[in-house]
Amino acid sequence: MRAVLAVALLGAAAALWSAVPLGGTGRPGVLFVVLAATCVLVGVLRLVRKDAVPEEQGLFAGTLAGLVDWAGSLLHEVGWETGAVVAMVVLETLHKSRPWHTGALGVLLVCYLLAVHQAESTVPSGVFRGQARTLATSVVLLVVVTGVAMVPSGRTGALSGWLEVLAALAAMTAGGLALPV
Amino acid sequence: MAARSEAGADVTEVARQAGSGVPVRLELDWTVSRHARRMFHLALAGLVLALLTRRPELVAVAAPALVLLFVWRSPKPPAVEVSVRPSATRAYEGEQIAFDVTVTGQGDHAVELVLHAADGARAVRGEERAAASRATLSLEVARWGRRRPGSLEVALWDRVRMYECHAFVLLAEVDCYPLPARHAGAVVRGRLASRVGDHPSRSAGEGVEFAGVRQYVAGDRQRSINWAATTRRGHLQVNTFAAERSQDVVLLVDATSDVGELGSTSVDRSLRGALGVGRTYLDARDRVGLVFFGARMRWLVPGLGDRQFFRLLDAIVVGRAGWSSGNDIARLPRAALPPGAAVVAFSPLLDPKFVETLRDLRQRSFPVLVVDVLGAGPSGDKQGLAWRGVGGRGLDKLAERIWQMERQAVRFSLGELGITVVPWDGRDVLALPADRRARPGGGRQR
Repeated sequence: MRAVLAVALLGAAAALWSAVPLGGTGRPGVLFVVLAATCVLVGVLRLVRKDAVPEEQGLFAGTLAGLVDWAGSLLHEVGWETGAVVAMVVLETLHKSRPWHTGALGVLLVCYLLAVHQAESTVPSGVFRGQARTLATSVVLLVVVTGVAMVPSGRTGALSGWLEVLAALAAMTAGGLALPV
Repeated sequence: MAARSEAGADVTEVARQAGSGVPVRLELDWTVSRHARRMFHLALAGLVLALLTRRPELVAVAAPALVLLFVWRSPKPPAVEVSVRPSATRAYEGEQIAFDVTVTGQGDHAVELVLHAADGARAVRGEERAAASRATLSLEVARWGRRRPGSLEVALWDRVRMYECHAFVLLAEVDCYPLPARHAGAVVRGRLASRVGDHPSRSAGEGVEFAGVRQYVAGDRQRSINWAATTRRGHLQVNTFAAERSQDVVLLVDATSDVGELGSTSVDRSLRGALGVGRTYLDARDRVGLVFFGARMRWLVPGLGDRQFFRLLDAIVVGRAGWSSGNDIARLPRAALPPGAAVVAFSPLLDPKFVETLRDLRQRSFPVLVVDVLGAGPSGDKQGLAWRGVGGRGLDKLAERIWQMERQAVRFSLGELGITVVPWDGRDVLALPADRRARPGGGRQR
């Protein structure tokens, strides 16, 4: 249950972090905040009910029983966490460029997905065994790429944005190859 | 082969053998994990949005996920060897069975072991899962019978948990015996067969219970002379003792109707009670036999000692017993129901044919004692709820009253024949009647 609580807190924190400042994104921002919050909530509900015993036969009848079955399958089969993560990244793009803020969101999102994986694992204690070094390396790489993104561009024009993205990708690839993963 | 990636997987004979302690090779079917798919979507969203919006900081969002996805490409073992060794293949209800599990050949991949309990077994909280390649996991067998108590799920993960595979192994069959009921007192017949046992009989013999004093005759042992009586009467007196004899007891289990909640049905109670009573009589060196009265009859000839107790258990769980088609008590062989044997019947008294059989036995001069294992009536029984909605509370009460009166009538008719009916709810100590008149054959109680 503690793992599910961690998922709820990390999901809420990531959604809030990607939404602030709340007034700066207009209607699309509100839409994606609602979408992210809904996905986080339903994802938590899925984790809470993952070990639940199926309802007794005959508790609901007819159309209602069909609806309950459909809702149950929807709860378990849809990738709610994926929806939440994509909604938060899109929400982040609706704000002005703020590399350090985006980098922190990246850390929050990875932590959120790891917590989800731990909560849905049958043996939660074994989830992080053997991958601590890889996780530390990935965070270092995130910091490197964020640092590259914060370097001010000397040129303006249509290609400068693409070049910056390519530079970040190159930094990430170089870092990935250089760091001991 | 024997591995698949979802619960409820098909399990081949290879997987069945693994559960019995023989190390077997399980082929693995690796698939991308749900965690990997989520990380992939995060990386994809970050990269696509970075390119679309020309904002390099969004590449940072994708970076950790891309590192984790890059690392997944490590070599994966195509198969592992699994061995599951149970601590016991026989247990009483409520006992735990430990399974020593060893997985080899997994390399540096993480192993998770989870025991899934089947019907009739329960997982032991905290001992049903482990994150190690060698572990001892436990299950509790909850209900009697011969069955596989569950299955073992062997899950393997790569280092960053992007790839996974799940293999299932059926656990070895376990014989779970009904837990013998606690039983107080044992009814002893007045007339006992001339076999050496532990019950003092009316005839004189070489027992330890004092029976009286008589005049010395040639051949009496000197150590049995009662010197105090000799001094008083002026000629030699010797002590006499009661002979110690045994009796035959036949446990008659009514399996014609099985009512009640699973795990506490009338047949469950009957078997627990029969084993408790059987254990007591066997401890007293009596011969105990068993007769199942169902659609057809199964029987175990009366015998002595611990070996007979295990024969009783095997007859219940495995069905190692003689049988006859039909359920006519007259068709039982003489050895299965010896003349003069005390019959202790366990029944909910719901089947008229069984009640008629009890009458038949009594009329053949078998001393019969009936333990009524029905417990709660319709009002306390969930099965009785079916008629609740039909006619309301008044009709409900009336139906229950009629039912109770019918049962009273059955008990009365049995009592008229000298058959005592003892109610037992399956939880309390099974106490056989202390009243002399209530005992089969008017015997005495130890």
